Amino acid sequence: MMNMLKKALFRGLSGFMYAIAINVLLALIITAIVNEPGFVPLVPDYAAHFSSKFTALLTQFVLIGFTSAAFGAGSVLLEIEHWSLLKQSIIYFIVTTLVWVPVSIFCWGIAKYTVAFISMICSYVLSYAISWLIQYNLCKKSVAAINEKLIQLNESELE
Amino acid sequence: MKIKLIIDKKYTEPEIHICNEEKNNETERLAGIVSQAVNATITAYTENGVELLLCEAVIRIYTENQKIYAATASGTYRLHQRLFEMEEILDGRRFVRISNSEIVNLRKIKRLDTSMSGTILMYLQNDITTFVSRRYVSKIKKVLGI
Repeated sequence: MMNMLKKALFRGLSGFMYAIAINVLLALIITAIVNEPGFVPLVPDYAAHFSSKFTALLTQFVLIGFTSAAFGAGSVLLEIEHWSLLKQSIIYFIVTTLVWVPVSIFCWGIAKYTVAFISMICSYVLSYAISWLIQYNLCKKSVAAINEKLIQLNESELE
Repeated sequence: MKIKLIIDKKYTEPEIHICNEEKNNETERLAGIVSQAVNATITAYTENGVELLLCEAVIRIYTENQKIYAATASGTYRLHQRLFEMEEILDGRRFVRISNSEIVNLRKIKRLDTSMSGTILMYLQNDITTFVSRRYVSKIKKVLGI
């Protein structure tokens, strides 16, 4: 249990730092490309919550860091051996969704247009379900291959 | 660690000596490894004392309540080594790790099955059912030459 918590902490911190580094870099690139005085890569509705654009940008970096940390730390859930693939996937999905959806609503206003919001959530759920099915089928194929080999092994032992 | 091969007519049969200034965990561990490698047995402990188990008779070796056990058709025995040490000692062509807490004898596996929820079940001889961690599936395939 302690080992898992340590792993979660390490992955969470790594995810946090990588996300911030990547987002700072992206913000710099976007700012350089736009090249307009006073431009900051922020959604106006989000920036309006803050007294300065700098505070807004800093908060956005931290929130993105937390989102990434949730994905990183949550990945240990996928390694709990006594949980089934379904249970691991559902809990990981809930944990990560509970973080990225509120952050996305706040930072990028994804809930502003209901239809767009619902279609985005649906496509996320669908892509998640497809990836789960792929993993499940790969697992079934591996098990079938192992069973076939075990039969061969048992037959060769009998001969 | 130095390894010496001494050829002398005074030895009528091969002998292995482990030399050190004192008896410690390392010397005991080495003795255990050499003994088991040579004799293909595992030292197991029961209420009645020590027993030597033939490796080929072992169905699985597993951790339960932080203790290590070996299951055979005749019963379950306590082992004093840790699971990773057993993994080093046992023949890698015959035994394979299937989860963080279990090693199984390949010759004792009946079949594997995937449940609807994605759990991989392993059916072993003696009506033992256990589960396989997905992380170890590729290792099992490799050992089986798939």
